[in-house]
Amino acid sequence: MRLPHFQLFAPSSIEDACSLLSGYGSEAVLLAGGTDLLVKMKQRKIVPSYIINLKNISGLDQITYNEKDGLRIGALATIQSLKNSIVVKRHCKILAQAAGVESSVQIRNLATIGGNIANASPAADAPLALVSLRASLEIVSSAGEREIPIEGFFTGPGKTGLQPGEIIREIHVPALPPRSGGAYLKHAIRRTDIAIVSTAVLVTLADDLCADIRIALGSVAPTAFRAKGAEGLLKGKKITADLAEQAAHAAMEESRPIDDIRGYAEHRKRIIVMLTNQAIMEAVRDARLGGI
Amino acid sequence: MTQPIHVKVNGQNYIFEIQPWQTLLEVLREKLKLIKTKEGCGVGECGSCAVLMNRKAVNSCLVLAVDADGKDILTAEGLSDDVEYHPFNEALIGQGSMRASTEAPGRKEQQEFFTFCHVCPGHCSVKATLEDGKVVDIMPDRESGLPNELCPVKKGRFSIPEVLNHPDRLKYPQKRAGDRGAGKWERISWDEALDTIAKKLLALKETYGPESVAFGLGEPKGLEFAFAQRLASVFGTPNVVTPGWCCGIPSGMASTLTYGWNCVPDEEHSPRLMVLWAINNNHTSGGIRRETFERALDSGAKLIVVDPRKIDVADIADLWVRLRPGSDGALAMGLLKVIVEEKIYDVGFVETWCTGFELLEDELKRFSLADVEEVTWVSEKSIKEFARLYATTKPATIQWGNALDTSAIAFPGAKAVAILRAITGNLNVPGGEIFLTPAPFLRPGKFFLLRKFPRKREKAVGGDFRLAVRSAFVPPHSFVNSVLNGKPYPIRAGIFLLTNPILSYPDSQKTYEAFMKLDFVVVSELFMTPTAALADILLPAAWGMEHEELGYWPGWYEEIRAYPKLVDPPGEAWADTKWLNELAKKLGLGQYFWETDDEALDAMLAPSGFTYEEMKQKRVLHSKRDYKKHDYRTPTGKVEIYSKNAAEFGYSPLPYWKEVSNLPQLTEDYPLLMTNAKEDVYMLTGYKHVASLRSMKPEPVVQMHPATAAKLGLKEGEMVCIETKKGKIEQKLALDDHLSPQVIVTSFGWWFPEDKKNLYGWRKSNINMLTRSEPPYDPGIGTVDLRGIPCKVYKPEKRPAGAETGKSNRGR
Repeated sequence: MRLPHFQLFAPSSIEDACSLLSGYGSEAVLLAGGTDLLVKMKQRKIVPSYIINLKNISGLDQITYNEKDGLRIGALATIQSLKNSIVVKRHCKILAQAAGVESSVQIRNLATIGGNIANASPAADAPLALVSLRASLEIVSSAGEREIPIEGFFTGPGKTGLQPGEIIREIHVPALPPRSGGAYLKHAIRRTDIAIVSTAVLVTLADDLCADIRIALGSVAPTAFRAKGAEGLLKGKKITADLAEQAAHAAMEESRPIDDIRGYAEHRKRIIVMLTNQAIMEAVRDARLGGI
Repeated sequence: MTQPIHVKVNGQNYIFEIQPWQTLLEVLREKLKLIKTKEGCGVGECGSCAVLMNRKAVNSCLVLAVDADGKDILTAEGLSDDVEYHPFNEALIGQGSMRASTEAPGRKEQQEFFTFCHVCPGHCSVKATLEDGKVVDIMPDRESGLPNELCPVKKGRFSIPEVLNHPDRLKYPQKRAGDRGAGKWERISWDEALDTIAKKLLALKETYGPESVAFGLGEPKGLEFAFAQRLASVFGTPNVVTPGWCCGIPSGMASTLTYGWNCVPDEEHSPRLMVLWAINNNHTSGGIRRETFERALDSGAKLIVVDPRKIDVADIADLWVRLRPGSDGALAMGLLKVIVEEKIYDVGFVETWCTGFELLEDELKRFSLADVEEVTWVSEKSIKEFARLYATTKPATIQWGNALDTSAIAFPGAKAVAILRAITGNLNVPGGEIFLTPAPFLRPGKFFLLRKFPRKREKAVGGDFRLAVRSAFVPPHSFVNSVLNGKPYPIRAGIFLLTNPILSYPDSQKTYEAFMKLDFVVVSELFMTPTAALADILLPAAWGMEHEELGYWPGWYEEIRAYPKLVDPPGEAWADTKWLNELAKKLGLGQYFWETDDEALDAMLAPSGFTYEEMKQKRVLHSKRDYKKHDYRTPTGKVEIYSKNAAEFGYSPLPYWKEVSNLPQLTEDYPLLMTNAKEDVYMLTGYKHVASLRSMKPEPVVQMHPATAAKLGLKEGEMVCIETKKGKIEQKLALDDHLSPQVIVTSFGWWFPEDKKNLYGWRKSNINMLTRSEPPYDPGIGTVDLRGIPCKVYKPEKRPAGAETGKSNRGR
């Protein structure tokens, strides 16, 4: 299927991109990697009149880390670059793990983290890892810039808190406290397929007790979300197999899965318990061993 | 508004003028005619368009060509000259990203088995990978030397693991527990199911005769088609509906009545010219498989593509002929006119080996090339160019597709093409059109048309369609009319397997009414479908790989293949051959069947001297190419341009201009022509609930020229109504400026498994709501027009909020 016709702009600065975006309003869309946008266009789910191509803006694909500031990822960094990045593997392992099971290498080489977030699929892998990692988004527009947590950014399937004229410029992941560990697990037909259930767990231990834990679930609600009830069961406690299982059940209760072509809600619920339980135990093991 | 890009492709620098919406894939194909980089799904799932861009693998279908500016591109052509081996392709295959398993590669033990993909008639040779007793991948078999280049969209590779393990598979026999179609079922045993069927069938036979029971069959997979035909024969009913009436028989019979054989392109020797007429051999499989097609192009063969759409092979063709849908016969007559009048045919051959040539010459004088242009919308210049290129480039082959079978004038049109092949001297010569000597196995016709139980034409509904009944089927509208109108008598029960008539028969509304009126309906299926939902007894079918199987279809290869059992079927699902064999016993017809259905496998192979167990090692028995000179199995022993035998079936002995040019008129009310093409992603009406396939093509799409859409005030991406005299449906609008402004291309076979409330949305987007079951019919076979149908397209009226049904909730 060929693409619908459109007018293309290729700004070389983010300021120019912002002014084009505010100028053309809802008729315009941003193109980053294109692996979601162009598919939706080919399938005629959206037929935009104007496309603003961000690929010619330099410097937006950097990945940097320092202990004070944490990890900074340019919105145009590819998913493959996250998978391969040494600093990501060392300091935010679950992000590299999530990126590593996100579609095929040909897609990962094109797809960007900014596009992945803006696409707001409840099944997306790397954004789910970012939810558990307390990431925040630096958003710019002609009117200025703001930084908001990624948690709460997703408002529904394909829907975000981005206001008209806004562009995601950078993703910021704070450095993790010592004795933190994590796990990213996904259930899908194929290892790199769209998730049926996915979970990202990040835990910080203090004297073998759970000082903090974040359990994020994907594909089982309109957006990626944190199972805060499950987290509450574990905080301040020593995480045992029994407790992990209880928390996994709590996570299942907090989810709102639906029947769709990839799986039935009931099936998803069974998988949530299995996967969450396993991810909690893996994260704890990881934290005990010194963690990320 | 084009713009220049500078790219290096396979080491060479180029500057191209491109449009912003063109993808890198389109530019590689259109500008450089590179075709090993194929468009499969077009949405990044299949990887068939993968290239290296600045040394990184990307799917070129999702790269805007403008973003390739200044980049270095390496394609399969740049990696290897050998069409059968692309190292890059191998590397992508090896990474296991398509394995239907969440295990990391290498974590679990795997087993590999050689078999064939059974999803489409291509039957690619594959290695099935098993993990934990489940088929997790289907890889091309590069070891056996058999055709194995998977279709670009990799539909078998995606769908087989998913269908084998799909939660919606039917798992045990059920009987209807509420009103027909109400969705209420009661689980029963196989014994009860078969006893119920046998009792009902015997009672109907006793009261109304065996012809009151009809069979409905789809495209053969293994031996189930032959088993059902055999049961119909011995039970005594000639009323078997098969796809033959609109697939293969009109064109095949036109060949047979001209030179006594059906013919296929030669796969051993490359032709110097290939005509792809309503088919895309870069994607699908006709007589030319993808490897053969690529090899021929590599050796310099020229290519002519005849299609209303600018499909990918049209981009690389020497000539693209954009004809009016349904005017194939008129175009063939135009070609004959040029070739005969310019005397560029094989004069010696025609003088010695053809009968009726003078009558053809006379017929060709009855019209002008201007007439042909008017009917076909192809310019005189193109017709001449096509005719001259075809007649003077030898050997040449014409691979035809389904469009030549789907019209009430299919037969004379196909006969004109058959004459083209003959008078240009291309019959049974290396690289030309080959008569295959079948492999030594029991002919399917002998398996099911038993001397002791002849099919009685006078007992058949639609018995006037003599060639249909002789080919062991009746057209679907004869069945539907019999049930609804009792003419010539009412059929009261139907047994359906491999088929979804509510979607696949023309005139879906009447087909539905017929199903609702039948006394008794049996359906064997893999999944619940709109047809299965109307069953009284619903049987769970085992699929390929779930039972031992021999496949002889498609018939044009004249070969037979073994499909070993690799996994257990779900629940209590049985192979169709198994329940048909058991049903025969319960009907008191066991002596014409076997102790177990597996014994029939050996019976089928008896002429070869192999047992089925041996055949599992051997895998395939090939047909032979004998290239026998002038072996024409016709009454005169010659090529019968004028065929007296055709008259016996109600046909003109010669294709007449007035027949092939008699196309439906466009009117003010119905100013557009509707056509369709089978979808790459799906197999006919099947597999809409396979997640990987559905994500490639989530919705039915209708394509239209932008100027037409602008005139009608229609916007791309919106649902539009398509209406013919028969009914109306909705599909999503996409624009394509390569189409004729008078043509729309609809999506075939659409229903919505997720729309359980409305019988799976069988009316909403199904193009057979728009086709007719009334005359005119092809006189011998009963074919009606399924393409080139006058229609109109308009914006749907606003519906009240919440009225929309079947809305997909994918993406969660």
